[in-house]
Amino acid sequence: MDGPKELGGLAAVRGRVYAFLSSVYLNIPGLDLVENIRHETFMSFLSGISCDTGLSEQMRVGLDEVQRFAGAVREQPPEAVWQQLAVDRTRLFRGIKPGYSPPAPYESSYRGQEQTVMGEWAVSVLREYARAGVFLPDDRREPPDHIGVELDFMRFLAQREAESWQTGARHEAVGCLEMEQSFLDQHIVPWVPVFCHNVIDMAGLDFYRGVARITTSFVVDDLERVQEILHLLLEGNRNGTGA
Amino acid sequence: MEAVRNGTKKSPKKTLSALEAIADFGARLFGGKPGALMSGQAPPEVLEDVWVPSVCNLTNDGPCGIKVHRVNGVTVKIEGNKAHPNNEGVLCPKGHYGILKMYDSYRIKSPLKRTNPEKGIGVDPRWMEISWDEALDITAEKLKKIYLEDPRKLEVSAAERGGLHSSLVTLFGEVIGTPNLKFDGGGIRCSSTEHVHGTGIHAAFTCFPDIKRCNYSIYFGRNPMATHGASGNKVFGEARARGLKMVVIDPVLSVTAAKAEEWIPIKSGTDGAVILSMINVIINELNTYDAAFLKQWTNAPYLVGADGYFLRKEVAAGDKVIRKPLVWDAQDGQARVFDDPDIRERALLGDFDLEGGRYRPAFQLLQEHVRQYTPEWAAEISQVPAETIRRLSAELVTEARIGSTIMIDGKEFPFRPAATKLGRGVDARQNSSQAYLANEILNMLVGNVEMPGGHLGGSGKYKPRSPSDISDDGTLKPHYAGKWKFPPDKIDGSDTLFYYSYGMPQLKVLNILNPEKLSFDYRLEGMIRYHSNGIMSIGDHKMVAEALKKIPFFVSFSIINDEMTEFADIVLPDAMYLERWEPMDLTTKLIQAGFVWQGITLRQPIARPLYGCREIPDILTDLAERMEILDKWNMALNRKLQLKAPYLMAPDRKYEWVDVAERMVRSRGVDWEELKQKGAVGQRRSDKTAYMLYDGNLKFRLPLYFENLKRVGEELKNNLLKVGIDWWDTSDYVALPYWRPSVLYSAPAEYDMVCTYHRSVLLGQATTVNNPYCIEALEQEAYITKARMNPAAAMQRGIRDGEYVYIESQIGKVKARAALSEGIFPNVIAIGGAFGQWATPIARDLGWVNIGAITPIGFERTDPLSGAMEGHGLAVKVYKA
Repeated sequence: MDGPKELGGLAAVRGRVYAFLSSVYLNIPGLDLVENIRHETFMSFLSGISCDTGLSEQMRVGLDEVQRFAGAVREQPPEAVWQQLAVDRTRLFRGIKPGYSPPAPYESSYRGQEQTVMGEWAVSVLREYARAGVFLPDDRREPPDHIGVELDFMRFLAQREAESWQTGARHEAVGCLEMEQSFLDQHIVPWVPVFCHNVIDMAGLDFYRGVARITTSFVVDDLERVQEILHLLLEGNRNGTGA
Repeated sequence: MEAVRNGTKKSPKKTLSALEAIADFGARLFGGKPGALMSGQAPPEVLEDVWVPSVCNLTNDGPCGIKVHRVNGVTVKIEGNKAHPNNEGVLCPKGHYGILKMYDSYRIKSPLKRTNPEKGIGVDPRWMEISWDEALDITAEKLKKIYLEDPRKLEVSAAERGGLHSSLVTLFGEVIGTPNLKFDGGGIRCSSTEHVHGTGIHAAFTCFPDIKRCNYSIYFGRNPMATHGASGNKVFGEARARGLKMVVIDPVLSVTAAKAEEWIPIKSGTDGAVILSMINVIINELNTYDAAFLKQWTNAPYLVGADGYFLRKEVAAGDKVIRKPLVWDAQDGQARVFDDPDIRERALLGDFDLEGGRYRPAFQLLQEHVRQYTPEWAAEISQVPAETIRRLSAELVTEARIGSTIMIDGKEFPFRPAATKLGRGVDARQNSSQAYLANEILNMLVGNVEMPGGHLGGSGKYKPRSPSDISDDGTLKPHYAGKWKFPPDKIDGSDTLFYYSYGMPQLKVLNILNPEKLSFDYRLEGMIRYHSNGIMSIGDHKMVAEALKKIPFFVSFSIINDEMTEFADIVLPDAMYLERWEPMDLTTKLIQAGFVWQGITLRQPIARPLYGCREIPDILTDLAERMEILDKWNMALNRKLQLKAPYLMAPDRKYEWVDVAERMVRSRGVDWEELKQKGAVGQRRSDKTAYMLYDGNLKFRLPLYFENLKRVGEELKNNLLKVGIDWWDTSDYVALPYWRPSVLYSAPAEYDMVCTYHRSVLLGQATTVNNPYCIEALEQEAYITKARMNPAAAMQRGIRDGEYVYIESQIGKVKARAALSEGIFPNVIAIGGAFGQWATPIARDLGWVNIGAITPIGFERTDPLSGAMEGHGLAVKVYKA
């Protein structure tokens, strides 16, 4: 079993992945995204990581799709690429109308009635946020069960876990892990993969199809990962070999 | 640690390296944008369980008070507010379902920009989400260009049910300076004829029987129990319990007809014939009418010459000389000015030689004019039996209790508890003005106009305030009268083709497509739209779509991606009604005829607008600031909202809407905090105030003889001929209404049925067709989602109950499921009036049909007096699909 340093490192990286995924769903892309996609170093970076044997098959396919998109738009004017991305993102993530868009990415819409937000799941996640001491600022009007907000909550928990491991606050770190497991199990995994599946089906561009595949692969794997860590920590406690 | 996934053990290092790669991947793409959540000093957890008073106003009889239950920040229930004076706790289904409108996952969540230059029905706009700043910058730049170049190039269409916000969008158009202020209403959805003529007779936008005191009412083509919502039906229910009798004359056994004493089927579009015949029966057969009323309150005694105009005499009025009509004083045997206080007996009948000419009282002319309209003649046209027409006429006269009086709050009034009322089934017709004016005369005959129990002005009622509101002949000046202009300023061409002018959207469509016809010297370059859905409500969807495509810049303020919005270039999502500050007058609309209460009621937000939506006045203020017209906007708000010192807005300062709303309330002397707490502050008025003709400070007369129409019609005809327009029909500008057959029956013989539409209380005046609860309830209704047709007509065509049929007009066809019923005139097929969407979420997937899709638009299908469109009936053929 790895020690606190390794667990802290893993949590920090997981936090970075959640930050990235949250940003995908929350922020309107700017021209900088296009520049980043078309940047030569990004292309070579993509070629490099898709060979990473630690990646799941689903994750690899997602990266390949992003890579394919990056290759296809390399010669296109940046404005045109930006518009394509913005249009696809708006259709996929903003719930314009049924049949045209997937149901908007709110937990309440996926686990309650499709046409409604602010259902019991929104109330439930608000409670989780309050328990963890975080809140949505006043200028953020998205319902609390928006995919980007829920992923940001996971970012927050993972980062706090990382800090706890780094400062030797094992009890707090385990507490964070338990909250992460609970939130993934009770909230994210029951619906985010369904939404991502819709995006994969309806995406017009490989970019968001790939990102959706990366998202679903990551959150499903992450639940298993967190469960395993907690399991091993528990076993370690029993055997007296815990981190 | 070993990671075990999918039965495959992965090394921790590989896992970490893979995740680092993904994290790097994300960082390279998206950088380090801040997250959504904040940590640190979290606000205390909101633990609340409150009921917030607010206002619904989704239906005709609002504003209805509501109480909204909010638990820990989440709206969980809406109920009628028992303490609210307008509705006393009742609330229609639309009101109860408001939460689904608020928490609709398909609301527009942020400003959108169109990226697809192609526009059309079903064409994907290819929206891209943009920031508020970008959206406002683009919109303000386009609008400012129009403002500086030629404000007429802007069309502003705001048609949300009754709220203040809608009128502020119109105000914004006025500030910019455009005369083009409605791309909705007046089409297949609106009683525009009543609006146009009602102001000149009742000083009101609408009319209604005095339900509180009326004992007998005849409704032509009107279905108030479906269109008025729960508060209206409460009033109806109380009146019915008291003994109000109702007769409904309609091709369709409507909801109202089903509750009435009597349903009389009529051939579509022939109501005017029956009304004219009833006038004839009352005057020439029964010879029983309220002569005293006619003499005192109408122009019936005015002497009319052979030229059709009143005999007038010049009299001094202050420093002016005006020409007043004369009447014959039967006792003195001489003609006197109509309002001469010394007149002893105004003659209604007779033939007098005066000043070298032959003159007869207007009533005498009416008596002679209507002789041609016998019940047998009307029966032939309308299929309403002659004996029924005679019986109804007699019942109306009897129930009106001519000569009776009633004490109201210490004052004795004439009591005429009987009335007839037209609905959109008659109003939304190419021949509607003649029917409307005839109906007014019918009511005048029994002396009930603006009298207790009778035929009253309803919503939009204003009291004539000064002598300048009254014409020289003692009647009200028409409210919608405009100044003739050629080429027209207004894109509907109404300032050229009409004397009256109230929204004629179908003519806008025609003129946008063919501006040369009326020699327009400008073209529309921009459009602002707020909650109206003209493409669904005007008619011929394809033609309206072509017109919309001609407008280069279109901004839609909308909460959903509906049909109009899909033509927009920029979409700005506004707050829905549970998220707004909106003070409103505490007066009910139609049923209670605008009296009962005086005061103010408040729509207040239950929560801040979801997503990125914003209240429309704040959006307009942002636009005004960017357009550098903030000063004009603030001054216009001061005027419109009747702000008073010290609550007046300064011209150069930007105000938040909630601040302005508070100023509005305080300007009326009402405490803002008290209003927020109670939801409504006001006082009950005496019922006397409703009967303005008898009790008002300013006296005026009712036009039984429409001399003014005749005059302005002749002027209009001359003006048109001067500019070479000889194709526009001015023959309806007559002093006495006549029978004008509907254009409906000029279609080729193969179109042998009439398609009409009807509404449900679940719909109408509000965007509820995308509300899942409303849809579920609608599905339980027997006919509203189907095509109701008579079994005899179905059998002739081999159609069985439940089978699909095509309903085909001269411009297209729709497919609907037949529902057979004896409750419909044999040659009529009726469909629901709010469906057929292709864009509106949820509604688009219902597969129900819309009459607009097959309703032709044309100058020849327009009422030449009021601009109403033949939208309530159209010639169709029906066959099995």
